[in-house]
Amino acid sequence: MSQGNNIRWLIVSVIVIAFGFMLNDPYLAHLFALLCVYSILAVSFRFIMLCGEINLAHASFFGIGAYTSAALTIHFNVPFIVAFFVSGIIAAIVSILFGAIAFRVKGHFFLLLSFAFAEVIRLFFQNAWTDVLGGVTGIAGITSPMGEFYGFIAIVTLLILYTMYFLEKSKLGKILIAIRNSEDLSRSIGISSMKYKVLSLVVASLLVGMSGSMFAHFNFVISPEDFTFHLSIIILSFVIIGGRDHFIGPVIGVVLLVLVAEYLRGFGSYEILAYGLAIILAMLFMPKGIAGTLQSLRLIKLKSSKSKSREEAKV
Amino acid sequence: MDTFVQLIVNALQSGAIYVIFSLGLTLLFGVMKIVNFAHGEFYTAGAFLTYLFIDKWGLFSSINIYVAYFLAFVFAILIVGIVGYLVEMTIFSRFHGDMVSGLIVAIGLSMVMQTIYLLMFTANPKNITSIFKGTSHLFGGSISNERIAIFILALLFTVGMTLIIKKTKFGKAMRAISQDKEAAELQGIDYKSITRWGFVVGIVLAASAGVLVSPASVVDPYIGEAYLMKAFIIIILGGMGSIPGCILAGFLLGIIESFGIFYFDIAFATALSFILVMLMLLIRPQGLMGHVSR
Repeated sequence: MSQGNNIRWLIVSVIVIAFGFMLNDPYLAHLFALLCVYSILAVSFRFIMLCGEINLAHASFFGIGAYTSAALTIHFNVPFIVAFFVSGIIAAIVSILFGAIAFRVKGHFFLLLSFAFAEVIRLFFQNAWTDVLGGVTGIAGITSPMGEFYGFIAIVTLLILYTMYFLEKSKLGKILIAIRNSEDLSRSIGISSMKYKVLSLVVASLLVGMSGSMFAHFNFVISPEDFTFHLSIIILSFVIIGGRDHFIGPVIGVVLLVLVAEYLRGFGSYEILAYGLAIILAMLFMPKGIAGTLQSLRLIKLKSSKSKSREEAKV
Repeated sequence: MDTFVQLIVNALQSGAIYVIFSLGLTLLFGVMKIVNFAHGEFYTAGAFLTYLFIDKWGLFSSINIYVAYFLAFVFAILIVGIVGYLVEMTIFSRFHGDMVSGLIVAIGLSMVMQTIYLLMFTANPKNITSIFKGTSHLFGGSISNERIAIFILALLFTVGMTLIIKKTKFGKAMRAISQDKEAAELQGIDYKSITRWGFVVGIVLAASAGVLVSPASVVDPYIGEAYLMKAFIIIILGGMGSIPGCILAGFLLGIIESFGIFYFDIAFATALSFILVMLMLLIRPQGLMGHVSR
């Protein structure tokens, strides 16, 4: 990040936080919070993709966070801020168990295993401990924990995104990319691929669990159907359409697609149709996503300006 | 004893349908290395086309019902086959062997197809005129004639498909590609055309399952998805790309479901099958009958 870029992102962050504190219209505030939570989901989904795996149970960890937070605050009168951290920790613990088992396989097998795990978690939400978790109907009557809650969401989201950004630029991120590029080679130089894959899953699940807690408290209602593998797939489409090679890609995908979907909501099922078509078209014509396409456009500009200067030099 | 026979009979007839549905999926995986998330939507296509031909339009109403049903079957399969050919040509052919992209594009396709069904047919479940009426008693268990017919047809399909894959040149070419693509190409096998037709065969199998089951159950835009989940379980249990494994696991899932639902409940049966899948992936990722592939 250059100095100019630093300042630019600082300004963006201040604007986002200001938005969080100033939005008074309940509809817009809800939309804003949704964008924040989806951004965390999409960025952390891509974080696991760094090591080459697609985790269809991502939404389940989000759900574990949401359920933990809702159950703790409603049934056990735990203050929100405690429940907020406990949600992240519980999601992280479950993800250690899942990761330690599931990362013994990779590729298609990991994908299908995570899919199976997501279904098991959904069945758990529906059938286990129904007096606390509410069974099929889920938990209703969750309250907003504080004044200026949307400001809190904005700050937490930015903190999480910055953490993820620095993790990706750190040694951990580089190791994950090395594992994706060649797992055998990275193991041969002494990188424990299992350890680092689990670590990336745990970090992502911790942050996603905390965002699940926030989701429960601004959505007021949660049910098992909110956290199926369908949500993971929608998040995957955010990542792909936004651009999987860039940190900011998933955020672009979230903002664009959620706003389009919000616009289309009045048209009913056209929302899903639009998502599906967007995925297919993006895969066919923009495999690098919006961020990748923007970058290559800028590269073309760079090249053309270079060739221009070369021509000038010739003259 | 009677309950036991009844449960076995139920298991066999649902297992037979699972087998033809997942045979297509495992074939696609073997040949194209793509997990086709849109497979269930082709099943739904078969069911909806039968509904259109037999009930909505009554195209063949003047003819004998068996002939009408057979014609509906042929036309449904033709239409799905043509659509499948075009889909493979325009979309999937670019993503052979690329797990992530192939998966994502299949998910996109599934979302589009589901919404199209929803817009065309609404979410109300549709009934299709049943063809074989009444019930029979077999070894002390009772079963509707419809389901006996489905079982026999599904069995014929499975046997036919296995023969095609084992004996014909096309089947051998497909197996060669799924074992080693480069070596197959060196032997002069036309990878592009074989995978394209392999895709068509795979989804035609899904659509045939749809046509077969539709008179015995209701049709709505989301029926394919339930089958897709079961098929995932089956191809993992049986071994991805393995045909005998797929047949074995299909009947195994039928038995687990039938007994699990009777002695516990449906959630337990589903959870049990998913936990079995997770155990299988850990102990034997290549599945019951799969071979280790690169």
